[in-house]
Amino acid sequence: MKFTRREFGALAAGASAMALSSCAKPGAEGKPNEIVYLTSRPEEQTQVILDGFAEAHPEIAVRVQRYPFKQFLQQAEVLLGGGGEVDVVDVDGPLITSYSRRGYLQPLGERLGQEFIDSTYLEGPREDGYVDGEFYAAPMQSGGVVTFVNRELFEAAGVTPPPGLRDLDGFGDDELAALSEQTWTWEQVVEASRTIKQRTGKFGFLINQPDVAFQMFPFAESLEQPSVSPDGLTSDGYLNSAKWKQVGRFWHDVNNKDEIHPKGLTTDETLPFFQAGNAALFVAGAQYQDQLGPMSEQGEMDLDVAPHPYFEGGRRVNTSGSWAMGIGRNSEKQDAATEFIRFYTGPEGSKLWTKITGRPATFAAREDQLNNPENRKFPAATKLLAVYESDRFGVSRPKTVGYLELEAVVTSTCADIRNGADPDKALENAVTVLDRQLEKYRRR
Amino acid sequence: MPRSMIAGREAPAETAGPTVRRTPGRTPQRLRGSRRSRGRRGLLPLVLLAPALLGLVLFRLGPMVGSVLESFYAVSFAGGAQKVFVGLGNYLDILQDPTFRTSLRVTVTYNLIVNPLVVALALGLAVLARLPIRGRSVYRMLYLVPIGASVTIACVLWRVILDPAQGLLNGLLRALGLPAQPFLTSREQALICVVVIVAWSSISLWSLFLRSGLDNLPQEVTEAAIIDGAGVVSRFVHVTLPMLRPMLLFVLVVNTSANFLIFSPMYVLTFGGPELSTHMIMYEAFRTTYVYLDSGRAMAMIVVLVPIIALSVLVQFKALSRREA
Repeated sequence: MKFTRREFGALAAGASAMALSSCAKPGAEGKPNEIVYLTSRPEEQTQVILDGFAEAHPEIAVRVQRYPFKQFLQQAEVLLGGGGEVDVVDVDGPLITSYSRRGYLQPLGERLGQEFIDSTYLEGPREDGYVDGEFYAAPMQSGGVVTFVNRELFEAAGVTPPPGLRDLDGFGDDELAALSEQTWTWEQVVEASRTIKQRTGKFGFLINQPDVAFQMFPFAESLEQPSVSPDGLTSDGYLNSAKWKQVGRFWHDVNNKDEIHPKGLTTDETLPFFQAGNAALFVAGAQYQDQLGPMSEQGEMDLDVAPHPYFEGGRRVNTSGSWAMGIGRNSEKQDAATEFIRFYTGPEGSKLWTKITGRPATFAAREDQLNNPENRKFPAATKLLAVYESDRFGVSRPKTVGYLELEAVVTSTCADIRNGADPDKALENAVTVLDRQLEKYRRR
Repeated sequence: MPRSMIAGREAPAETAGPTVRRTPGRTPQRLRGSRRSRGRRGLLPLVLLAPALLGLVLFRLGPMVGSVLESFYAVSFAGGAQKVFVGLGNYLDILQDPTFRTSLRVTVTYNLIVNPLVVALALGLAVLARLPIRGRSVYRMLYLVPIGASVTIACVLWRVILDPAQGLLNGLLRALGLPAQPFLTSREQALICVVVIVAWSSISLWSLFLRSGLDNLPQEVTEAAIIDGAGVVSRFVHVTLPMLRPMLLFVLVVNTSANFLIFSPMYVLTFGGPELSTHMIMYEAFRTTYVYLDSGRAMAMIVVLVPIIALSVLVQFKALSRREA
């Protein structure tokens, strides 16, 4: 087989074109006003807001890049850290500091305007968006954890359940305040759980996310114990403090000594486990009312809802701050991206979003939720309790540039303690590992 | 291959056609033409190989060089995130890091257990599959079932089986009146569980290779051994195994390389725990990249892993070739 000069030239040109096209910037062929939105939210949650935005801003198209929650942080890291074209990205609240320090996010404050920021977002979630005085991410939702109660198991064990929404005559602030004052301590939860375990063989309580750090921080916060130093760069003296060790012993004992909390379950498995009647209390986000409420209404579960427990002598706590939205560092369509964020997290979008997640981050969505007559009956009133509790007792997760490292280390340490490791030793090891990782932020 | 042989092979095609009279000191026209044509032919393999070579450079060589270079850099947060050259700093740092040292120990321990186990079981299955027994075809089909599941799928499947609270295996143990086991939640049992899962998902594939190796062994040698009065065990040890050595070496080397790079069981099942008992190097490198956001350090870990794999392969080569000599 022989090649003529022309054939050879054509081959070379073809190969070059292929090579060059493979090197072209991804998405470079996108429409002029099309923005890329990176999210882990399922389509059924985001579609209603995307439709609303398309109606309000027909000139801006949104291309959604969706990744499963488990892979989302890695994907975001690859795309934001590399040259990926991301205009708008979902950011977990505590990661805003880390992302902004790395230059992954563009400042948002000036684009949204100070007046808009102050008049739109609730104080707690709003503060999470600031890093060194600059606003980087607008909150989509806030926290709000409650305790779902399976009264049937309490009755079977002959134990009085914690006071809940079903004991109230109404769901105004006065009634919710009265309920809040009767919140159970963790000591009461343990005592009741032991009896339930003994008499029914079922577990006393269940944490919704027992395999990650998210619900471990409120234990320590209830004892007024921070996990890292105020500058966020040291864990020695904090994560291995006497109070964190008290938390460690509590978590160890409920899983190993008393066996009133199940081992081995992951976040995905806890809701069905509770729905199947295997645990008496389920400490989880208020949004689970969407799954558990219908069960109560259809008589499949004798359900009640109580506030989040706290340690005796400690302070009342609830979660605050959650996911936010920012503009990716490589975005060249900042105006369109800002409009999208303004709509999504602003009064209009947040009302739609809160209807789905039940955890408002804006004044408008909170008012909407409080004034909605649908929420003035049980079990929908769970949302009102979550708002009440989060407003008054909400504590954000630790604010540190090394939050990812902190979360990973606390997650694995609490998993080890749950599996039977000595809590004191595990927390000392955690400090060694974490401070080694935080060293890079101290490096000059 | 000697050049003369290549020339010899090409000669008939080149000299086909009218005979050219050679004049000393002058290159004949026909030969000059042939040289051009040879030049084009010399380019042709290159052109045809170019896409593959380009792929190798882009997707293998490039990332390898990139990884080594990256391992000399770290991120400094003084005045914004900046990459700074740290020389061997990452290497010195990981060698002093107790977590990395633990992951190195766990990776080596895991490989010392899993590789001989997988090869031995695969060989056993291959031998059994060749026995002239009734229902052999059913057995041959059944033992190939795990090939259909990747290690990741196998992990998901075994997670259900090994769940301490509601798992199938503990249900079975309880039904037999035996105590339930913690399996993946136990520091003592987790690594063994990972070994079992990986072995389960990989022995079928390797036994296929070994079975084809056994099928291709010359029967004459075995028959000669039978005539010489060698028993079944003696034939297997002194005749079959030595002849199967090249295939065993291949299986061992590929399996070992894959197992040094194992990642899915930790990502899906154990997250390196409990208490780092299953914390292997690739998982630590993944965490360092995506959780600790320190890719330079992660690259240093992977670069350290390469000579370890190379050494283990070399030892295997030496061990199996020495006997051959």
